[in-house]
Amino acid sequence: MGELPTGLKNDFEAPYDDILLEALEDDPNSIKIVKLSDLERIYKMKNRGSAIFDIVNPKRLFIDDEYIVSRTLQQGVHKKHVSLRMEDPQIDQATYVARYCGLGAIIPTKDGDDSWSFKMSLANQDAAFSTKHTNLGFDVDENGIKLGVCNGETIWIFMVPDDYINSVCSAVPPGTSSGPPHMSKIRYRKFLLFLAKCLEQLHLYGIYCRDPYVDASMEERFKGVTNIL
Amino acid sequence: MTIQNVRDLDDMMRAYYQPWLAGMPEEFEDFFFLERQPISVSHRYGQKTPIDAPGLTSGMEAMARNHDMTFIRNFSFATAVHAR
Repeated sequence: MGELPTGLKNDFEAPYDDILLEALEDDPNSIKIVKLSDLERIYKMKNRGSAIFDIVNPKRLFIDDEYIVSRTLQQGVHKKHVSLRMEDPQIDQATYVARYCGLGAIIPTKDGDDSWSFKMSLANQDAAFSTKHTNLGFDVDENGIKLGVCNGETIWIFMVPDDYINSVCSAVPPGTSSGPPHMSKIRYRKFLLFLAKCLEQLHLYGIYCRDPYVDASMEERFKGVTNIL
Repeated sequence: MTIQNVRDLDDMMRAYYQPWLAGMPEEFEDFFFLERQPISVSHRYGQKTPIDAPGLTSGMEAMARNHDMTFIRNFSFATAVHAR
């Protein structure tokens, strides 16, 4: 990460005399302002001190002369409307929610794809889950467990209310998260007992579960009945 | 896991979940599980998959290939663009 800046300030804050005060709705003395051109300059200079300072102390952005077409040049502009051109669209986040109980979110269209891979990894639950930009339909609040990685996608299991699965309740608005995604340790172990029993019945990877209802509050007892971790 | 392993585990989870709940002894019971079901969610940030026409790019083709939509309840995505 390199050295973290200690002295946080933004030397580019615009003096009030330098802007059109009538453009401001509030008391100008209470607002810190930064010019759009200076913001661009800070970004290009990779000035972390200013960037962090601006996050901690939000400012009003002022579109200054560098971004305004001068009157002489405006004479050559015949179009009445300002246009915004969006280029190079990319998918930056994708989320798939399974329809039913199980692993529906990672079932591929075709079998026999050599590039397809799913690595189950249950021990490390440090991963974060952000609901930003997602539309899950339910609240992740302490309902989840990270299951692993499939083709570069992070796979989670969430314990979702029956009413949601049966479509008898309204979906939670996009981005909703009223708590952390990870379920409690005891519920995590209980779910693993269920999963271990499933894997045992399929004779996969030598995983066994001698008692799917063992006291999950005791780690030693949990580890004594299953080798899933 | 192979694709077939995942398909088998998916079937098993669906088949065994209700019997597992039904067999819970009193001391193990947890309302949390009784009124819920485990569903999977696949999530990825920052892949920057191009979506420029014409046709699907290799990234989009992979997305379509890796998820059978008949098993998906909903799919959401966010796009990033360069604005000028």
